Amino acid sequence: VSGRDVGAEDERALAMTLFSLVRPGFTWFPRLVFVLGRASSTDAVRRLSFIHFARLSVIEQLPDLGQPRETLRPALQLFESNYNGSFSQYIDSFVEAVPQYMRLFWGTSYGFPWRVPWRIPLGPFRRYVDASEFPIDHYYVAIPDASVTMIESALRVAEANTQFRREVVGMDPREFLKRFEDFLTQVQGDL
Amino acid sequence: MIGVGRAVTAARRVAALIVGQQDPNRRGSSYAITVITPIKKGRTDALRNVLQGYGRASQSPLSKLPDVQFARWVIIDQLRTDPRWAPKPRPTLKSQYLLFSADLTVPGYRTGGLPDAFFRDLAGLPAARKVWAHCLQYPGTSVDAFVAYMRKSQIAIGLYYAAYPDATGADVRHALGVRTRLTTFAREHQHAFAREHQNDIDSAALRTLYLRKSARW
Repeated sequence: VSGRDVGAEDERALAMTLFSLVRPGFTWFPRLVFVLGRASSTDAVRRLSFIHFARLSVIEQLPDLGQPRETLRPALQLFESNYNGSFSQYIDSFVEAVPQYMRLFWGTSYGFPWRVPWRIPLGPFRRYVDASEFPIDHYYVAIPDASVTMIESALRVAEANTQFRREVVGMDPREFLKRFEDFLTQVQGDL
Repeated sequence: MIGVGRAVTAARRVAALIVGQQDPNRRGSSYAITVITPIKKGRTDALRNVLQGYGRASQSPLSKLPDVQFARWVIIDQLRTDPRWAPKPRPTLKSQYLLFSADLTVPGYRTGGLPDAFFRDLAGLPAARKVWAHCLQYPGTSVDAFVAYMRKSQIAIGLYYAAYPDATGADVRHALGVRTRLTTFAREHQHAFAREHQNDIDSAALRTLYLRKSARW
């Protein structure tokens, strides 16, 4: 059962939960990528305009709550995201827009399709994701009918509207009409 | 010895500069909760029934927590590997686990209280007892003990991305409402912009109407 078959979708939002196995001796590499990623801007990820939230983590030890002791060899890498669109669009966009990040995030994991180092083959990458993805038992989305683009547009409009309201209180009516036209022109791309 | 001490201090400062002081679970006013707890033996199916019985969106018990934008419960029954590329011997887990993760966004002045403030809110949900009662060492209804339990089960995040890290759920709802209402307002009053119809009375009425309506958006 793939992660998208059970409860991983709510209107526009979809969830992905992947656990991959990091090759022994390479856990330092994703950790280094995380440090550099935190220090850098998120412009590259921002190009993937359909991701609401995403997280990555390397897990070498699970919390000890009295269960039989686990030896995580190899270590696990957890990837979770909340996105809108379809699974195919999501994977295709990842591979096309930020292939270098795919290699950095999963290149040291078992099963990542490295057939040719300069190109990530779509089919094998989809199969890799399918094989590593977990079904979701309960998924909650606070605002399920809004895409990332809608939300970002709306936030820009709301901010511009607040600013505009402040400026036009007490303004001459004809001047107001002109400024209102300018305001609508400014935000029309986001309406 | 003084020289060594100074070198260590300098190295710490450089490391702090590279790594950054920010908690990696945070991005702006958003916080990534990731908790993994082992499920009691033989309870996985019962837990799955509880989780899959919850409804979506406003029917979800998590809708009672206004800071949560996204959340999920995932049962990790075993590692998923493809025999074509799995390492040998094939790694397996000795127990089954429950993963809970949530993306929270709180008003800026409340970010300092995370994650404990969220765990306290979570403890107040009847669903928290129904779910984590199937997990080992669930401490019962004591809020402080539940916060400690969640803290002990928390996984540190390496890299966290949030598209709109400073907008709470309430901010997003408000912004979506403003956008819809402004679009409607512009459409309803577009005649006022036709230059041949412009006069002081129309313009003044439009300004009054805009200020009155937008105050409620």
